[in-house]
Amino acid sequence: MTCTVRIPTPLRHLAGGRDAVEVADGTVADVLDHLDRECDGIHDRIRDDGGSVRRFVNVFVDGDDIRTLEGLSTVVREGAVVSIVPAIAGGAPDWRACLEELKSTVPQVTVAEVRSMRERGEDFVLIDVREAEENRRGRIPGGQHISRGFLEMKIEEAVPDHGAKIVVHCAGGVRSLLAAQSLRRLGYADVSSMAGGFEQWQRDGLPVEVPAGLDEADMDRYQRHISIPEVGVQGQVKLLESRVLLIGAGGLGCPAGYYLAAAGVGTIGIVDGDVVDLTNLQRQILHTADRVGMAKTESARRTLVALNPGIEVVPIHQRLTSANVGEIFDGWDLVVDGSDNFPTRYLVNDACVKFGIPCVHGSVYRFEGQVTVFKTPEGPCYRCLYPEPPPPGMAPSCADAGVLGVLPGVIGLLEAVEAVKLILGLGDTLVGRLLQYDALRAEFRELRIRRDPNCAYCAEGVEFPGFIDYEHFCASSHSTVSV
Amino acid sequence: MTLVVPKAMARSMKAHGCEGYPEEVCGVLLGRIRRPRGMTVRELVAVHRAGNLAQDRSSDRYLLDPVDYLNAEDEARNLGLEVIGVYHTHPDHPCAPSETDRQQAEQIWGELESWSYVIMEVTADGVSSWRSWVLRGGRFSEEEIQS
Ligand SMILES: [Zn+2]
Ligand SMILES: [Zn+2]
Repeated sequence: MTCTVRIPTPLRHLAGGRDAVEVADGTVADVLDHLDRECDGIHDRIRDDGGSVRRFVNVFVDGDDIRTLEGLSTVVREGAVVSIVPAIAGGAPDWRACLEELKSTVPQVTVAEVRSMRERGEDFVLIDVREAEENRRGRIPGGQHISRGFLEMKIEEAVPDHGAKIVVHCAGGVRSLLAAQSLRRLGYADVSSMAGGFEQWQRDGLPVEVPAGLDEADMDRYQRHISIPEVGVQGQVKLLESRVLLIGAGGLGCPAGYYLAAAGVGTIGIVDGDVVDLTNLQRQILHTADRVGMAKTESARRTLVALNPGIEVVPIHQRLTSANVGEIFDGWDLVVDGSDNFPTRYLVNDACVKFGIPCVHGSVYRFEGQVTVFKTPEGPCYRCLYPEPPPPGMAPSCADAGVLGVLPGVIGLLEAVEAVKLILGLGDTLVGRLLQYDALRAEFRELRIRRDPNCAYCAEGVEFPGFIDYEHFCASSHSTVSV
Repeated sequence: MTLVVPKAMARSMKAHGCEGYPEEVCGVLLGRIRRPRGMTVRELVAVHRAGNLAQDRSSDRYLLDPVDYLNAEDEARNLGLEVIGVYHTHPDHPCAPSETDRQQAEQIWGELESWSYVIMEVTADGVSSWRSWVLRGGRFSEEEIQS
């Protein structure tokens, strides 16, 4: 007569991978003894030397904890199920206690003390242990920056003298406590932490510099930018601090995103609700054959961070709708529209007008493409040009129309160039100009486009009419210009 | 080591973390394990919420209800999956494993390689970050989350 012992996942390797073992019945103690004979090594995981069930293990008989029954003497009837359950537990660090202890062991100095040490001309090293990103946004003049994560590795080089007086600071005074402690452990005798950190320094109205600085690796990576006087370190910092939202990781979004990532646009968001399809690979160069079926946003993210791990890519695997556009468009400096359908195009336009975000617009069709920048109020919006979508049937669907695979590369990269110019404030952008490219004739044409003073969305003094039902507005939801 | 987390599962876990705030919450992760080229890839398929029995200190401790664990194992078996890990939140604390987390995990795994331990940092504003960890030889190391 037997019962079943269920083995939890963490112990299955001791039961030959089985999730349950049949053993002779009896008391729980008997059953566990039988189990020990079946499964080498399982005894120690369940019971201590005295044979009691370990504190970190629960044993259940048919759903009841044996601690609520008669413990190891509980009788297990034929056919019953004995379950072994590990205690899965843990907790957050007892951070407060830890912090209090640090405060009592690491000397702290106030911002005012650091300031007067400077005024007295005292010899000390001020080290900023915040992340590079935080340092880029503003720092104490004359300090050295070593990110907390590199502190132990780089301190010897930065401060060879273990007797030197060192003050470390972070943003709020906590990370610097940890940093100071680890420097003391490395043998630095005179290390203190600046209480309140950079935030306190700013609150006290003390001088702050916004560095035009890049770290060494960035200086190398972007060297060809930095050597252009119109870009320089300042321009590169602007790019790194910029946030560009790509609409679509398709034919236009892929080449645009690839070069924007390479150029060091620091944060790239990608909105796309589709997955990679084999027919995409003829032109959508961020995706690969082994990613068919994967979300396009994730596929794009992988390719972009592989090219430039220093940037942040924010995948937004959603179809853009009137309902989510407000949330998705929040916080971006610039939109690069690579959408492939009219409803999305109008929605992107209306949202850019509403939120005051410049929109770099591109589209392609068979052998032709066009690109412009919609930036109100300096220039027109999409609706100034096309108040209404073409009648259904006039715009062939993606599959019908087709597109020369290389063409979106040309148009997508023209969009990327405009995006970089807008970020850097360089040159003449395509605001008010529509640039058309005819691949068969190898010709570029330029059309002037003007604001419509009666535009329902961007005309002066007009109240934003609200987001509408774009699918309905565009009548045929599949009216698509192929991308 | 990689943990593949579909968006819906990430949302589900994060929603649980937010609903429970400021208490710690926990749950069980069900899925599949693949071992391409000697790597371990755990693919999350379902999230099974569990009760926290550490009632007296639920703001900074969790003890996953063993009955919920058993139910999760049942569910896994019915779905042809296995338990691939557990998750818990750190209310107002970074999502790195605490010493308590390490000790408790070591009780289960000893020197063996563990399942995934997903930890979410949750604040009043929501889940601010989340990471996944694997215990090996008694030490936690981070694994990649593909989401
Ligand atoms: Zn924890
Ligand atoms: Zn307009």
